[in-house]
Amino acid sequence: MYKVIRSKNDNHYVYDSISNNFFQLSPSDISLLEKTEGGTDSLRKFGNEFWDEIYGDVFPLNLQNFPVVTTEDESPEILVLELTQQCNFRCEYCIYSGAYIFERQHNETTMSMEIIDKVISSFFVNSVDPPKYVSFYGGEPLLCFDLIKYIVTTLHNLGFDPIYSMTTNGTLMNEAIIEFIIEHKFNVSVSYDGINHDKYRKTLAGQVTSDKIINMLKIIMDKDYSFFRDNMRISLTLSPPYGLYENAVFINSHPILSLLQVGVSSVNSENNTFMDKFNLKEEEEKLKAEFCLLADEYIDPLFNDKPFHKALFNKHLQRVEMREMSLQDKAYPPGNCDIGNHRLFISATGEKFICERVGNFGILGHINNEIKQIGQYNEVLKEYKRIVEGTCENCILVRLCDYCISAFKNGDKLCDNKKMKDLCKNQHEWYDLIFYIFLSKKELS
Amino acid sequence: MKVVFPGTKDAKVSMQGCGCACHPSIGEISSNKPKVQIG
Repeated sequence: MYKVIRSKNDNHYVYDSISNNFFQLSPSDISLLEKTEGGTDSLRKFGNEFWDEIYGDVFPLNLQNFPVVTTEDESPEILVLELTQQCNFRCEYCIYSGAYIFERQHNETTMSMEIIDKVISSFFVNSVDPPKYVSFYGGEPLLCFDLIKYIVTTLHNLGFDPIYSMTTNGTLMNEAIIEFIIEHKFNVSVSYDGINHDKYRKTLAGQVTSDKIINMLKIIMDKDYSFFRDNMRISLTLSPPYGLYENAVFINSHPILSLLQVGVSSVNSENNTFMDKFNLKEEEEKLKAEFCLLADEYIDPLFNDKPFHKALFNKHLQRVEMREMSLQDKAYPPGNCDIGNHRLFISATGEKFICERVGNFGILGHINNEIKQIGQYNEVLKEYKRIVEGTCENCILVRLCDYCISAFKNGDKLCDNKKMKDLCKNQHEWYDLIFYIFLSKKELS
Repeated sequence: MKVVFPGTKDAKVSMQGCGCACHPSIGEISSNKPKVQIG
């Protein structure tokens, strides 16, 4: 498939998914194309010499379908452990707040020592390929700091020192915890929601938390600046009223937050009552306009190091920058996550899932299973195959799309064709913006 | 019509930052493990 894209300087380009190339269009080239998007075959209009050089005898395309295969062993690169299903916060938009019909609610379930010892024995002591990364998840994992200490110390004594990471609200940090995470070089993602932080991210007792988190970050910054810069990041969840531009100004100019890498995600608008109280159409229109405004800013090299702009656009710009230079040979996008091989999530009750984002979909077994549950992997892989087959092979984004299974989740199963179309429309709009930034930045460099 | 701004020759499928915002983008997928056809 091809698509015509315009840069900020009003130059025109074609992106083509079969060759994964951008071509620059002269004014006479533009007149040769009848439509701004269509099948790659239309590019034959640019002559045999052009066609033979880029495509040779590519047609008919011989594309590989999504393979339903898995590794013989269960040895994920990243192991995510849900230490507890309890939290000292009650964020209004949280998926465990009770506002989501398909998600659990906060409760006292904590990972037992029996499960932890089984995790250590199965994935480390008896594994030929132990995880390189262990991530602590919750609830709030620092409610279980004793468990974190036990796991890190036990693994170290057994000769294993994976890279640890943790997502935390940051309010339970104390001197002992700070010393421990510095000593063990944890990667720490602190949830901080910018201008909306104190609106939704409150404690169980209803207290606001912004000042406490900023103070905690300052303590770590003063104690070990290189750890602060290299290992700490903030994770910002956008929720209505989004205030995207205002958030960008706030984060980029903050004396402490602007020093950190930022991650930005947004609240899922489906299957929950939290979003019901907003005029979402109006909010989303405003959000789109502000994304465009920030995209235009990010084209300017002066904004290259702005953490909020980087958080919004860099991941996808890098996907375009690093795209593979070969003809299309797969009928599915690169976005699936090599289920169970890249990442495995162990819930507090010992169930294994594809990742922490899939809710009740994507269960792959239980920690007490002595062998890998191939049948359950089969079910998940077949469901993903159903989603991508016949839909993705002729999509302009088949070489770039990063949707993973969690994007297709709808409740406790994967989505139907209607939701798939909505998701794809969003992804197309997003990549229109990414292509625009990419080409405009390239012109400047 | 000429090619501009090429990507990376022989690039691997990029899995970095696989969409899970709450964890740092770490590691690449291990694609060299033996696999079995299951369906």
